Amino acid sequence: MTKTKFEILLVDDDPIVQFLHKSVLIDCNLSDQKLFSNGQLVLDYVLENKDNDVLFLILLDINMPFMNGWEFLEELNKITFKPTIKVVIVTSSIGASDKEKSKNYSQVFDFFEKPLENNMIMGLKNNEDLAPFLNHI
Amino acid sequence: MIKDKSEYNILIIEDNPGDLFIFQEYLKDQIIDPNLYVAYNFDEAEGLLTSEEINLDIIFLDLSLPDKNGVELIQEIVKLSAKKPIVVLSGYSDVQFSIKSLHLGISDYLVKDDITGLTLYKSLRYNIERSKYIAQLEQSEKRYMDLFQLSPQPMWIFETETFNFLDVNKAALEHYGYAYEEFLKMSIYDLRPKKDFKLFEKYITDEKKKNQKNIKGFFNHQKKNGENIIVEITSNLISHNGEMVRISLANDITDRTKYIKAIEDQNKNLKEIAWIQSHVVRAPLARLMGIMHLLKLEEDKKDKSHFLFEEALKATDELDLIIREITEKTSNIEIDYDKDKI
Repeated sequence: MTKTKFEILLVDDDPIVQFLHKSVLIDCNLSDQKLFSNGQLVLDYVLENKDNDVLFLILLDINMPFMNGWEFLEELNKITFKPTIKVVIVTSSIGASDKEKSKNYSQVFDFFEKPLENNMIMGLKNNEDLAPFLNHI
Repeated sequence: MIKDKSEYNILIIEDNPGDLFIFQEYLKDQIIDPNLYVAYNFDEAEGLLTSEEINLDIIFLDLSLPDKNGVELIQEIVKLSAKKPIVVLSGYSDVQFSIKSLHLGISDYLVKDDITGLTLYKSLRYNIERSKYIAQLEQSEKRYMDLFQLSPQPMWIFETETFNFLDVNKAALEHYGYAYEEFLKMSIYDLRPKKDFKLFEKYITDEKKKNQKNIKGFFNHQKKNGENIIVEITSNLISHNGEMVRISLANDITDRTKYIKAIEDQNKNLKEIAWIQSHVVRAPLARLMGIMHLLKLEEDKKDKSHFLFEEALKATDELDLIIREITEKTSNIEIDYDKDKI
């Protein structure tokens, strides 16, 4: 899945959280990211850009209006030609059931409990798909 | 010859001294030391039979006594015999009558002219043993009836074609409020609320169910006073007076069901609270913690962090810990609901 481009997509309906996550990413030298406030918006964006040779890293909230995180993942499963997507769930939920449920989706490779902190982002470097794009942080 | 060493209390009711003498000799030939009581007429027999000191094993009875004979004599002696075996000693002319007398409560009859020591002794042993066996059977039957009658849980027996009650126990009368006579005029349909008739008919007339030896199920029942209850019925096919019938045991689980329902409702509420804790309450806290995290990065750049800031940080961490504990506790409450479903 060698891609030449890399994009971080922040998906959360809470403007304060969007601001916080953005701040943490900037603090980790990841200044370029796109913001979305529900699953539908990010799905549309990903579908529009799926042919652009991009690896998408999505930081996905679960509880959102219109299309929540689970519904977004379900929709993603229905698409035959899959864009290259790596999903980290970032949620305020601490119920064990959500963490269990996230394991059913192949795109999800990590599960963060809010608040998002610098060390969590640093940890993403350990993923071999992401490492080439994150070695500067 | 080896003689019987057991102790026997034998009453011979016989007015003919010659016959009496022979019978006594026959018995003494076979038994070492028989306790022989003799009555020459009904009057004397009555005296001996009503005496509390004598515990008889068997009664030999001649059919024609000077003060009583025939059917009347047999009926009176049977009444006085306290279920001890009675063997009739008859002459040739009485044989037909002796055979008929068997259904009056007589155990056996012997034709006088054919009696030998051995046949007399054999009849004695056989009838004593048989009467003991019958007494045991009666006792065992009584024990089973007691088990039915004295069971603390309602029980009844019903006919499998008409579903009419054949017998009910005391607990059933008390629990459902019907008198025994009322019960016997009813069928098992009458214990159910009218709205359940159709459903129950389908259930009970199912061919597979009908022949199934053991049936268990949960049903809505209605007491005489209209009160609705939920019962667990266990029912078995048994043979009763030669017919196949069903015996049922009813266990009222109304209270238990209400209790389970209350727990289920409470559990549902608890799960909702857990969900609120985990998702709703924690969302603003996570936001607050995120803000604190960013502020801390700012603070760390200064030399000295503010005391109030450190305290606010501690408080958010503490609150987070509390919510985590509550979420963990509530997520442990998992019950297999289907187990007790009705």
